[in-house]
Amino acid sequence: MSAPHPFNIFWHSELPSTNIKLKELTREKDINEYTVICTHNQVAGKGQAGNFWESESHKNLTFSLLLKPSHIQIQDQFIISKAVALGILKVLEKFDKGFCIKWPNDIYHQNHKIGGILIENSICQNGISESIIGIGLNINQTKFISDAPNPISLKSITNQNHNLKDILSQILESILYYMKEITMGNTQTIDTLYLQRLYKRNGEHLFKDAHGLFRASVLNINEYGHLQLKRSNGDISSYAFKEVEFILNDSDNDN
Amino acid sequence: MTKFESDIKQAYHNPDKIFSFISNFNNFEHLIPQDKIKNWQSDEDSCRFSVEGIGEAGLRIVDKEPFKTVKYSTDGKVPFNFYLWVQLKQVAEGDTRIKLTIKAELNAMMKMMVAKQVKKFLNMLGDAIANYHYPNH
Repeated sequence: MSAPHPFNIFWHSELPSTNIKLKELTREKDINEYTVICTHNQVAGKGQAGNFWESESHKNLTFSLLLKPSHIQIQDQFIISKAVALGILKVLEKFDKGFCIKWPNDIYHQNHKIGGILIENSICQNGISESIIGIGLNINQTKFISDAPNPISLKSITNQNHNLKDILSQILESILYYMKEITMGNTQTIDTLYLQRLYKRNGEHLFKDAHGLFRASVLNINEYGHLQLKRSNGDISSYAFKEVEFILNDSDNDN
Repeated sequence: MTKFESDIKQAYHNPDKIFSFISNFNNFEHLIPQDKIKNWQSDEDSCRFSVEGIGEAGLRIVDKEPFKTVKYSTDGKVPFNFYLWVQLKQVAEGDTRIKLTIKAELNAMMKMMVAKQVKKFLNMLGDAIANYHYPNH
């Protein structure tokens, strides 16, 4: 067993969605910060805005963590997403290089998706009263049956099985580490680390917005969590979630 | 074996509701004193936690008789081994009596040290089970 941690972890053999379960619990009663709901089999996982998350039973990590970061203002909520993504990467990076964050919610290994994050915040006064952090990570799954374009798992990268509970506790502790950095005011460090680990951080790449395809480079993620892109002609534009997508071109998409 | 028993507790619910609740360790977060228990990890059939000042312990459901008894035993590394029984007896509609029993292998020394705590724990857990706000469905 690892050193004592503040987490209370509940494993369910099957759940429609860990985020929904955790939300129900918070509505029923005042449950502790650092409550974690995990399932071996998530049957109706949610991605952002209804995207479906495929996960084979007992192979992967699907869990939701409750935080109560009331010191974080509503307008700064994307910093939570950054801390969570960095927390996950810190653990994955023990196994291999090449992990990165595909803005806004995906964890990638090179050009393949290994996981996703879905954060749902409740607001009270100016702070975030509750943050439900849903995480799905492919760990030991090696066959993917859906038409998701580019899935990968930790096992397909490392060629070995991993202990789900060990990886879970490492990720939780690592998220906690970055949340503490925020509390201590080290948001700049987090911003820098996050930017360094962005997917397609360097060079020009193909993107698509409401007006069609264009080439641009990633300039920054601003304080609102918007992606700032710089086009070849020097124009800079900001995009909220879902307003722009990365185009995985043929040379990238080798799956 | 040393036997410890709780007082008889009264719950204003039918035993099926209580039975299904206490048959799943994931529900126990509502029953455990959060200030004394840390590091909680559970699934439906087992749990593991650390008790402040005592150390790590684990429990597992070993037997169930609907809607009368749930038997638990210690699991994995524990300070001492014991069995915990929760017995339910319906005396009227919406009136169930609850009794908790712990049987433990304790030497005289340990018995002296823990007897009071164990009894207190049983009554605390019994009250928590009896007074829990069971959902109405």
